[in-house]
Amino acid sequence: MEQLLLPLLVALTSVGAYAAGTRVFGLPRHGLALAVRYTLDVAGLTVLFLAVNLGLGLAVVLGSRALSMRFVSVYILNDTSLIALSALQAVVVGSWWRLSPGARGEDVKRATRAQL
Amino acid sequence: MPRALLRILGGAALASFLIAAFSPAVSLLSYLMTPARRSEPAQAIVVLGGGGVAASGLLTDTSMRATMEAIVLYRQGLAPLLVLSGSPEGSPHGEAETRADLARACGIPASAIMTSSQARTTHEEAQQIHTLLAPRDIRKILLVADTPGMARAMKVFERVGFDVVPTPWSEVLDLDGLPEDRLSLLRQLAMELVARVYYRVAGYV
Repeated sequence: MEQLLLPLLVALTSVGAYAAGTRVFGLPRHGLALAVRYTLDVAGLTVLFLAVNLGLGLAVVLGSRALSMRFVSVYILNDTSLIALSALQAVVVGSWWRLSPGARGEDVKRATRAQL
Repeated sequence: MPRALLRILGGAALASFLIAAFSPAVSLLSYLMTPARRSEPAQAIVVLGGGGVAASGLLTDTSMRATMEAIVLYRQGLAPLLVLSGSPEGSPHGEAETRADLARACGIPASAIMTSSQARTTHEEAQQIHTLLAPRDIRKILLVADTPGMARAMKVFERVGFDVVPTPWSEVLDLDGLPEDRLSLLRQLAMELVARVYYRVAGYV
């Protein structure tokens, strides 16, 4: 039961944010679906950036072992900060993509369809 | 990449995160990836390097737990020799020597302790410890290693000619872990899977 505390907290604050967003700040309900889609985009980009960062890191570590006498441990890549930095890269690139003229038009069309 | 594929990838990643953090799935996966612990007499207890020495000059928690596990096995009379491996880095001594200091402080006679401090990978550890123990005709060893790396370490040591009894030192099935601990274990398992692929490609196992 204790293990469900964290998910329950997040579920409660999410419901609270939804209520505050729609009733206090007047956010449109149909915008939530777009926000969820955008979140999935960013999560997917995070996985891609993490894979590329890890692959490149592995190549650099193994390359430096082969080219120099200095030994670099592969375990240096096993660090939470790399996940956070990959997520940051994903947010920036995802936002850039979303704010580009083509993508913005697509979002407007989706939002209009949802309203209808 | 089409956006739909990106979203499927993102959805799969978020679902995997939730399952990993809030269910015992990772602990079960770790359990399935780890050879069962056995306690039977052998000719030597071999402790693999891992964790190293902290800036304070003391062993890290990880390194100390493995060393203490080996000391307990020695005290139980399962083998007459302790082989302590570890990185040469650290001050005033490297990991292997600091482990040896701890073992002596716990009453293990100096004559029952050997150290190996030049290896940097599990593959090198297997080769150097084989070089160390072959003149004593030691073949059967109790191998003390962390849970995720045990299966690979076992294969590497068997490849150089040892008969290995696995003694993974961390909990192998902890269904009540905290989300943070589970995610940390997931990272270790992911690294271990990469290491297994690398060792297979390199022909070490």
